[in-house]
Amino acid sequence: GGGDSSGSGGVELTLAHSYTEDQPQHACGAEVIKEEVEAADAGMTVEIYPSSQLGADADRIASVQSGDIDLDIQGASALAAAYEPIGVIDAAYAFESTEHLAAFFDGEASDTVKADFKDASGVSVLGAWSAGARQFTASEPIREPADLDGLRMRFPGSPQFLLNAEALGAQPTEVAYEELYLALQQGVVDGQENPITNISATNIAEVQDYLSLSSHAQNSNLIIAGPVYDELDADQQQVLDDAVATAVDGLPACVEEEETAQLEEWASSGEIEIVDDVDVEAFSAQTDAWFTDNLEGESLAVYEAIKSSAP
Amino acid sequence: MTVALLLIGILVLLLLRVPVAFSFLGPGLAYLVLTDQSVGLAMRLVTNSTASFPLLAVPLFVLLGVLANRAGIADRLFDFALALMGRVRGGLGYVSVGVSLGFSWMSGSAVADAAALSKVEIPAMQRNGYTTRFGLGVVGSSALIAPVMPPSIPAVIYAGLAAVSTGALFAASVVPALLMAAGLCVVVFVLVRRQPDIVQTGFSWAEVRRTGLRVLAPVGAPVLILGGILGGWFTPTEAAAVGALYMLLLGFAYRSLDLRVLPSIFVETVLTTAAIMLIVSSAALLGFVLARERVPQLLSELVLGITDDATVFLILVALLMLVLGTVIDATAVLVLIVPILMPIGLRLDVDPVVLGVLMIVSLMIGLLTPPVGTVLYVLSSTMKVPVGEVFKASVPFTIPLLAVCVLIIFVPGVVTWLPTRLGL
Amino acid sequence: MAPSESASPVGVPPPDAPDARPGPGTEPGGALGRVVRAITGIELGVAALATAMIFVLVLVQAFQRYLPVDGWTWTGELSRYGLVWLTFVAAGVLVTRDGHIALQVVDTLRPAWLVRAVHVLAHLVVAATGAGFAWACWTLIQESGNLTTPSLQIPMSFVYALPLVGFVSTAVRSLLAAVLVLRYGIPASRERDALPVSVNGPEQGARA
Ligand code: NA
Ligand code: NA
Repeated sequence: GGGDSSGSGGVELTLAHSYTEDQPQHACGAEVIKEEVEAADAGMTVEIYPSSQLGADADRIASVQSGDIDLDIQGASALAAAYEPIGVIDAAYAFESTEHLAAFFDGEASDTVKADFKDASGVSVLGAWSAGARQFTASEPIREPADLDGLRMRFPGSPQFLLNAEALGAQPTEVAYEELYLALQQGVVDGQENPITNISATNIAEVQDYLSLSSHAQNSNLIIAGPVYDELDADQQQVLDDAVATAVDGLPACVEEEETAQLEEWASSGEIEIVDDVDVEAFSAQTDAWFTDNLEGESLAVYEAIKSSAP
Repeated sequence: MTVALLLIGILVLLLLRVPVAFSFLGPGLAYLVLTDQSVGLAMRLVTNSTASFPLLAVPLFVLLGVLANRAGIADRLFDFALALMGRVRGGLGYVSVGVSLGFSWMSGSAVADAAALSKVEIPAMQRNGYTTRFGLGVVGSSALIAPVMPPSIPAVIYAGLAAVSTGALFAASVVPALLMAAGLCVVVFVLVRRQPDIVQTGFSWAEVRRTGLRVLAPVGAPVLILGGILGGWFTPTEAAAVGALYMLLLGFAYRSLDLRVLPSIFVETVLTTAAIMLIVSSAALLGFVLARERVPQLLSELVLGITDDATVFLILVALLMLVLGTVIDATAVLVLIVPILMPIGLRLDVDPVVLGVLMIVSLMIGLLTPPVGTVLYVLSSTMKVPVGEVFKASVPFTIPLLAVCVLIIFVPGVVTWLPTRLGL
Repeated sequence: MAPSESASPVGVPPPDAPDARPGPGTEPGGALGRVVRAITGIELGVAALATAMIFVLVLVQAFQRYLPVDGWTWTGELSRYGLVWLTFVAAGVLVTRDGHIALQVVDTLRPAWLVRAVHVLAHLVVAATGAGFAWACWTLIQESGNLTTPSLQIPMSFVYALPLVGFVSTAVRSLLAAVLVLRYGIPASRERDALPVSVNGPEQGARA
């Protein structure tokens, strides 16, 4: 648990996440944080529990709050369970690119949302990366908003993703992640959206005809820390911050390498047809108008902070 | 060390008749408190494991089985099977297997099947000169077809844990379930030679037609469930609800169900579901503790140190399931062991669907063996015979069930053939 | 839901008589018995409603895909919590009905007092565990104020309220069962009809 003293009198930090050991979030993210922290020799060790071993996403947020888990990697839309406006980070076309997301979290634009999140939840945001952009797969190509008409698209059940569906002009339908492959295969739903690494990990290409590169949202991963962070001394906090920063710097390249390899494989095998002429301008103009109209209060403020931080 | 103490404590509690769920919940909570974790964590873990969409199929398939039972489907199947088998020597033995096979398409658990059918079939056999021992053996063993044939509650639980498609697992289980039925018929064939007092009933096409028409509509339930999944109309969980709705309407049409009995139907569903789900959630808590203590990694290294051969691995799995299935409830074994065995299986290129069907079939045999064999206790209590007597009766009938396990290990095609044909 | 047998007042039946006490499991007789049965009715009623809710919501989710209506995207979430409620709110009733799945090897032991002692001990372990989890639910209700469910935004404290009821009930019923078994022996029904069938079989409903 939180800051258990290990034999040598140091602090043992628990780092949990939901990705498999093959995914970049583990190999280029969690592992790097562990190596950097331990190499700094600041009396801290890190134990990694991958693959939701310590509970599913929603469950682990509460564990981070209670100090049962010290460090975790979570999507912004999942963190919205503790502080709703932080979900806006996952809004469709809020970020123009991976670099935009990095710049937002690097600069002062993200200070308010991080501080408000900390006030509401007691949890610190140490950094964030994008694990690639979310793309559509479906039984039809999706090039412009009108192509979504009449398609039963599966979106994840959390509110931000459902807002995204509405903003994009899709008819969201609910299917549990566990039943998604079969539902797509048998045609219960026509399509879904996920980042390429997830599409690859769940073999969705086997049961879908078209991958439309809409890049309609950055798949954010926030590295969060529970109460133990506030108990560390200034040096240890710095070591942890630096370790996270190193992972944040290195991760996008890992993701890009994997995405490129996967896209090349699909292109050569023809398992799924890649549609790369999506009218991103039309989609992003539509979602921007929708979010500007429909978001309010702190959520709108987060959205505007993101937009104004575009590099 | 901590883990060893924990497991010994659990074993002692189990032997002291503490319910399986509480034998896991108590030590699990104690572990979290003693290792300085928050007490709320235990509750979050059990809640989280229960709040899973695929597991919603558990109450829904239980509901389907209760409805099918109350709607009198078992009696209809019995009449039809009897009409077909009337002139065959030992016909009631085959009837029992046949009824279980038919009912297995509407029931997801062996215990429901055994409880529903034993009271119809065993007295009928007793009246017609069969020994009680024969009746207990055939009814108990053929009840094991229900949890293997889709819809299957163990399959729903395995699919959720292993992240494989419930539809593929359902399709994969059909051939092994049919083989179980065929193997049981062989045992019936052998045993009825030694039953001198058997009385045979008559046979008439008119009776076959009359009783056959009475089972046509009930057959619609599995058609709707499996057809709905394969045809792309529903997800497996939704299909469970649609199947239960169909059975409810059928019961109303047959006038064997009415609105007044609905509350008791839901109460019965609650009691069965809660007993299963409490074990699922408690095993999830214990699984968390084991993960926290790095047991999966240790066991994985151990197994991979012994063998890197998929067949040897499957043999080890089957043996482990036969042993664990006799001492712990099958659901608990699945929740605890699947997260540990899955990664090893993947390393050895074992098809997770084959692994699942093998685990389920070999675990189900444990329902017929003391001390935890739930089917034994059901038959013992409904038929008022000692548990030991039921166990002795079922021994010859476990042979074909073990043979099916061996077949799955050495000819995995029996599992993969149908899902491949269906493109799953 | 209440057993049809007329309940005999606590204290009348001789200890260890084969048919010492009526009813499945460890239900007390007399006024206390009536209270327990009323509470059982409420707990089972809530759990049955949760089951019916799951049934209806999953049907809605299945059919709304084919109807020209805006989907309710919260059906999955509410039905998942329905499963949590049905599971934990029924935990206590299963104690009284001896409906929890348990290894029954000790029941075949001799002498009878040993079996009785083991039963009392098992009930006490369940009571302690029930109390521990009731405490866990209570802590969660207190500390998860700012967490809500993703879709319907139900406060997580609501989610844990019914499990709290179930675990308090488990603790109380197990204590009561321990006292009853200590005083009057193991209910006769446990050795005959009631046991596993009341968990899994059609007996329960047929008898009710
Ligand atoms: Na049978
Ligand atoms: Na079945």
